[in-house]
Amino acid sequence: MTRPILEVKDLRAHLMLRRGAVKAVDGVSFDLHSGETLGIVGESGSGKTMMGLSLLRLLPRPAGRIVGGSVIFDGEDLLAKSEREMRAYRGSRISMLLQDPMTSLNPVFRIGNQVAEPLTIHQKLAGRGLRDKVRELLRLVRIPAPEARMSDYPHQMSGGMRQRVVGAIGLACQPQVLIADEPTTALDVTIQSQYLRLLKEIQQETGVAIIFITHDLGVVARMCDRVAVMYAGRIVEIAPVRDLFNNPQHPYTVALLRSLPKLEERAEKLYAIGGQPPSLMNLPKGCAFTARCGLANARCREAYPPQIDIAQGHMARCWRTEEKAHV
Amino acid sequence: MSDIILEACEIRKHFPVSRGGLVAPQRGVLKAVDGLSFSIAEGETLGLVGESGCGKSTTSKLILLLEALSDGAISFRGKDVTQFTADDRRAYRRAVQAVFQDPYSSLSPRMRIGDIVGEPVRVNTRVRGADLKGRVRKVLNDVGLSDPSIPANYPHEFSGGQRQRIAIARALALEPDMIVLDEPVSALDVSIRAQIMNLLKELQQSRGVAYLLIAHDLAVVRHMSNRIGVMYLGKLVEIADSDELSLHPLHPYTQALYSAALPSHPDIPTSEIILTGEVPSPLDPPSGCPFRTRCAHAMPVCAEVPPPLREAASGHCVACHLYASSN
Repeated sequence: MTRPILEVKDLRAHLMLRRGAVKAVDGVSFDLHSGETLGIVGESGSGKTMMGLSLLRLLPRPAGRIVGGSVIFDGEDLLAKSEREMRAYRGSRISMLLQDPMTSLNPVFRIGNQVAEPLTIHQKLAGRGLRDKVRELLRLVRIPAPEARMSDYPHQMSGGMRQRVVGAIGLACQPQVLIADEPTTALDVTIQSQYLRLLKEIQQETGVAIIFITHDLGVVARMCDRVAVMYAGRIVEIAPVRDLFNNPQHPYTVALLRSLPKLEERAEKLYAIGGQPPSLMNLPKGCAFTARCGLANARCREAYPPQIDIAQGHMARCWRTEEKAHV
Repeated sequence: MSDIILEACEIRKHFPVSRGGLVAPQRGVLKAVDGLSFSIAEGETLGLVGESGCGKSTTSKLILLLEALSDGAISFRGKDVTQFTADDRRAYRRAVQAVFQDPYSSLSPRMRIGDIVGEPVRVNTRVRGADLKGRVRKVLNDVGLSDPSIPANYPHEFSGGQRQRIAIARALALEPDMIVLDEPVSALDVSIRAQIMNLLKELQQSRGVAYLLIAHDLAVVRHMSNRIGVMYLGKLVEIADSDELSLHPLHPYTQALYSAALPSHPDIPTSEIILTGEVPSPLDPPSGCPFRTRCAHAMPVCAEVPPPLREAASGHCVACHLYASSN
């Protein structure tokens, strides 16, 4: 196996608020290989977006702070870089797609200029070369009539089209890693489907590794090779996508899969997870899921479970899983 | 078949719009809802699905009498709403309630929960004092918020799922015959969605209330509805029994919409029908069938004659020329 393009080890990122520290990312480890798609699923407040931002060291300031761990990208620790060095990575070798194309494009600049920006900064392109490259990128993301569209403003485009422009900006410098944070949540069903297919095609052409942050297990089923499930700032289970759907181990993953309404068949009643996710400011001592877990016992409340290997590449953090494994 | 409580007949809502400069604006008409007919029986759930801009929300506003009809008729228990006296109108507003998408903006942040839930009762009935309090407590209890301190709290003290429960309690407080649910779970987290969907179904069973469910998530609509109507550019293109529509969609748009829905498992094969382009502007809809510009089966007749909604199988109506001969 080749060396992963990105290795994240025990990453911890906290938000320091007046009321105390919010442990948004609390010891997250995973690795990512070229050409693969890793899904990060979790509910709002599970720390998935903060995790994505901390990989690029873009946590909201001044509250957000990375307090531990390492992010090894292509052999170098990004957390040890200076701010100036970091800038050479962002948008060039690692880029990010955000959820809302309305707010991630600047309304007062033309589309062409916005796609050109990373190219002028990172690749020092100018003039005709730049224009050709911008046109090529817009064509890559299937914008019809790219030459004419370059002089449009964002408001002249539909949501799906805008999200594709954001994609073109993210892909402008041929990044090795693309962090996509819920890029299709704001889109309609058929447009979402078009966009996901486009990302897959681009990945096959360029070999970019994608981290796909989403709350939608359907997106995961369609897009991802591996999945990490986050709960309260930690990865509670990580597995190849089929293993996760066929053989989920962590009670949270099991519950999440059972609570989905299915298009293929109709259930009278859905399985519902009772209660609420815990506050990240005041996490319990043991496993964070105990309050909502039907299997929790005294040990679960006492200590946080270690990583338990289920199979090749399949890990879950649950004491009860460990017991099952020993039987 | 039980009694029809609400019937919409060829309802239309056209918004006048002006495009272009201040000096010589072009007048146009946006046909948000363009000749929609459906009926809802007692205790039934009718789901309306469609992509953004198809007129689903305008339809809900028309039903709630928040927008005036441009044309057509809505009748409630056999009485035409346009002929309503002031008393009829008040009675209608008691009988038809609403739950909206975003529980963060649909509850006033400055009112206590007890006042929010009690307000419709106070406005519409003579129930006051301890009776009112008792009624509020009972309905909060029904939605699973039994803690006695809840009526004295403010909305910000509750999570999204709890707020949606409060909004449902408010809608139930007057014991309505029908509730318009406009995207009731799309703002909620996956694990909370199942809770709210189960709650809505339980309440329907115990109270016999009818739902008009507006949503874009096909799996949610399938799970909740007895019948489903599919909208495209202000028109109903297909309406059928929930299982029938999901398993045997007839209209090319419905087929594409269902095939674009995300799978609930990675092993489910995707046989996606690829829709090219985007939804045309409702300001300038195509002639004839609104879907013909994106339809793989478009024929010359589609550009000329708008297809009427015809019954293709028992209880299964579709507006498409492909099925004209089968009649």
